[in-house]
Amino acid sequence: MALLEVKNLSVSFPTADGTLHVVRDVSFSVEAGDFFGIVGESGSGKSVLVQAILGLVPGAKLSGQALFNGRDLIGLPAEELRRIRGAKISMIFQDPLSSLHPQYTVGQQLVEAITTHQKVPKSEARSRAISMMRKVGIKDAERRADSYPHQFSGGMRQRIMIAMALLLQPELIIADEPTTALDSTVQAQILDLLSSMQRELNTTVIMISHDLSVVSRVASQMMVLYAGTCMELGAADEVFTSPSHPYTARLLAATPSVHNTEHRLRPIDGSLPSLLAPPTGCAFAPRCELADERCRGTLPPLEEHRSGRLAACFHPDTELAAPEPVIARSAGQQEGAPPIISAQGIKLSFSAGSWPHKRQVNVLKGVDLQLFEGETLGLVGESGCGKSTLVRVIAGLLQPQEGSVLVEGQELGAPNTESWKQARHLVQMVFQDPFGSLNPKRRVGSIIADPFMIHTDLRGEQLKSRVRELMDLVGLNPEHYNRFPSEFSGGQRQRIGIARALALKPKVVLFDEPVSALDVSVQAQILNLISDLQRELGLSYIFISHDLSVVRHISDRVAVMDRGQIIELAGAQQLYENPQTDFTKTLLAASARS
Amino acid sequence: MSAHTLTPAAATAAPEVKQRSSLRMTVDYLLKDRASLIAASFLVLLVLFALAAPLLAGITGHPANDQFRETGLTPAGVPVGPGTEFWLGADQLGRDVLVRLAYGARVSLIVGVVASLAAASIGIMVGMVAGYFGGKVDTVLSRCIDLVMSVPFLLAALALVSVLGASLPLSVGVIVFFSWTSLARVIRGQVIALRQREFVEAARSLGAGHWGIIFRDILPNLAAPIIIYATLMIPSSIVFEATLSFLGMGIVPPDASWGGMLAEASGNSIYLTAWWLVLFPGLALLFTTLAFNVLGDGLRDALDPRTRRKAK
Repeated sequence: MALLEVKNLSVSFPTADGTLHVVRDVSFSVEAGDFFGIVGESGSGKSVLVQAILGLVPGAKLSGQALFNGRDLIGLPAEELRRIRGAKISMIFQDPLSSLHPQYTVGQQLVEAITTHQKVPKSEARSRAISMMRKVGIKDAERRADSYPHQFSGGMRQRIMIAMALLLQPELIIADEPTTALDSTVQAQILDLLSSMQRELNTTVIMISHDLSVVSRVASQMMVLYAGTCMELGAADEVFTSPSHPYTARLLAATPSVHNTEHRLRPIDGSLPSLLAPPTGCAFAPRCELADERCRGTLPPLEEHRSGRLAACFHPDTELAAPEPVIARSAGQQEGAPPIISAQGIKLSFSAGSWPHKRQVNVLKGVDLQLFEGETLGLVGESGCGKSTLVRVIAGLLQPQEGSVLVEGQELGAPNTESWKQARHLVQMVFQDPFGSLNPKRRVGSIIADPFMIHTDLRGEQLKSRVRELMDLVGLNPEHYNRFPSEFSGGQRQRIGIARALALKPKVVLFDEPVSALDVSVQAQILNLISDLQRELGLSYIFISHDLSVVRHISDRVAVMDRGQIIELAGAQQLYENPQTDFTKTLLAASARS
Repeated sequence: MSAHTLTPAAATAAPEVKQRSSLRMTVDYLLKDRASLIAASFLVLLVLFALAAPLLAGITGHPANDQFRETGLTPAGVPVGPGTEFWLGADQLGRDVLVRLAYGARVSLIVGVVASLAAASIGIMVGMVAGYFGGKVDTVLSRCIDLVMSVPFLLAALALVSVLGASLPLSVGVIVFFSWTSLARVIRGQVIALRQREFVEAARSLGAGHWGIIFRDILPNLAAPIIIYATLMIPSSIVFEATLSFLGMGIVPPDASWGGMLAEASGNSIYLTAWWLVLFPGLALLFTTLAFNVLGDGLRDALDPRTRRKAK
């Protein structure tokens, strides 16, 4: 008998705008000892599906069955569900800092997790907690048990969450995006830990992730969700290497890879269908190149195709058109040409803490960097290494204590000086967060018109037509001039940010993680837009990302940063094939994909 | 330009379900909130009542400051109660309480709205400057706020009136001086949070100046707290004015104001026999402040989804 068997589960939310159909008729079963992965983009309903089963989504309407050890969890009283959660099923969440109480030591919290569900003496609970901490790889566990959550790093906190989940030896562990908030090297460690714990203690794990490759690395079974419906279900490595459903195939084709740089990314056009009015046919049909009348009219059933894999498609296992080759860049680095941007000996430190514990934090420790016309310089490193700070110094948003930035040979002065204002026409920036970097209370037309309002005396119709041209350039419908940012999807918002950055016709654009907040299918659209704009307008880029395959895909040269310094800088291919420093090797190993 | 051919479908695919604008959502929410609806209707009626004051004087034939000693007072000199001649009764000088209530409503609304708007403008400016620039500017302005908050308002008001003499502009001035501080504190806190947002950094990287950022990027995001606090400031200004008039430091008699009417009723213990002299101005004051407060709470729930969830 399967440990968890979900039959025809649907979850919907009544809202002011109508009913949101978040999960529609999903069935799957998880055998004891399985590592089951659920993959989907944001809005696919993957988290809601699992949380609804555990009764963690207030206000949701559920139908169908979720049999846990033969007992239906749907409709169980809240008190009984609470007893099952923690003791029989435990959860690991994305953000370990917000799941741990800041005012208790981790030892206290682990002990409490035991004593809430079992009657054991405190001392025994504590020794069990400490031995579990050791098991999940926390050194010096005896002493560390008395530390508070903020005294641990993100990866260590996630280890503690895993220890807490394992403490009561639950039959099922549900991990909801357990590694998304972590750096790639730490992510690899946590994934290894999860799978070794699963094997060692023989528990069953359901892991939710937006990242196909992460799931395929650890899971034995995998389910692909799209717009609340199950698209494909089968052995994880098979789904990953030879997907049956066109959605899975397209998702893989849209993901940049460290190894494949010869092909253009194939984005999935269009966006997720509205969950308020889900299509009657296949949810993916509007974006699918294989879709015909039947796909749009009727929902394809989840049927067994090729080697026992289940896919909900009328055209399974169809070979997709081969991706286009990358178009060679016309403008490369010219021999002997002076750099367009040259940063020399940049040092920057912040003072942190308050008196008497005030101290200096050195963020940049003397960085030299040159950017040549027409090239893309990738900048990689773990969070906190200073890459965002470096880019802000080059953009003129922060002033370094030492060193200088030359833009086309001109010194970039202090903010609001004449030379600084002049540099706005040459260097512009695109920010990471497509939600935070656009003023929510201003219309798109006015946001894109901002640079003209500040630097030119274009007004009225002339200004409007320039803004429309820019919207057209980045693939936005110029008719959406009067909308607010909240009416756009994440990918469209990033287009708005790019349009704003291009308004003054700069020569250099600095990208600070421009695609990290986007889904894979949209990420590919934006990456292609960024490289097309470069070819067309002859731009030079500095491109920050924590994702090495994205950087590999887009960059000519790559600089690796660690603790405020550039430790390695080389041509992209050379760096990825023949890394020189240990740090780069670790980074590459962590992101190496099957 | 051929870049737009990259993914035309992505950009042009209009969402099937239209998102409602934030104004639409706020109005929808308020329309569903019965308490806010009643409060808003009461305030509309109150404004009509105030506007109709001369009309009422015409219908009843009792101008506000005229004394009707023959019809308004009994031979013993006691005011007559509510009836066909004086609908809400007459006061100790034989004046019509209904007409005076309507003229008093004008004073209350004008003082409430004007003083709140003026106080809100000062509070917004001070709060934005303190929050945006931080550092020494913030320290100085924040201490100013503390200073004003620690001045005992009645003592200061008494001193000012005794020096300058009571008048409507002076009482508005006193109210403004004492009520901008709370909004300034709220705005300062909001601006400190907004200043860290990426869109402010984006505006800076485009080369926008400080005042451009303050007015074009930060101010629109303060709409919710400003609307809420300004609405909640109106009733306290009205009560403030009534207090000043009650103490004889606000509106100069014989002009009508609710606070003044209450003061006259209590002045010679006439309310012991003529209950209507206390009840009607008192109720008017009570329901007006209540209505503004209920509406302000409703607006807060409608504009701020976080408090809305708690409220449910």
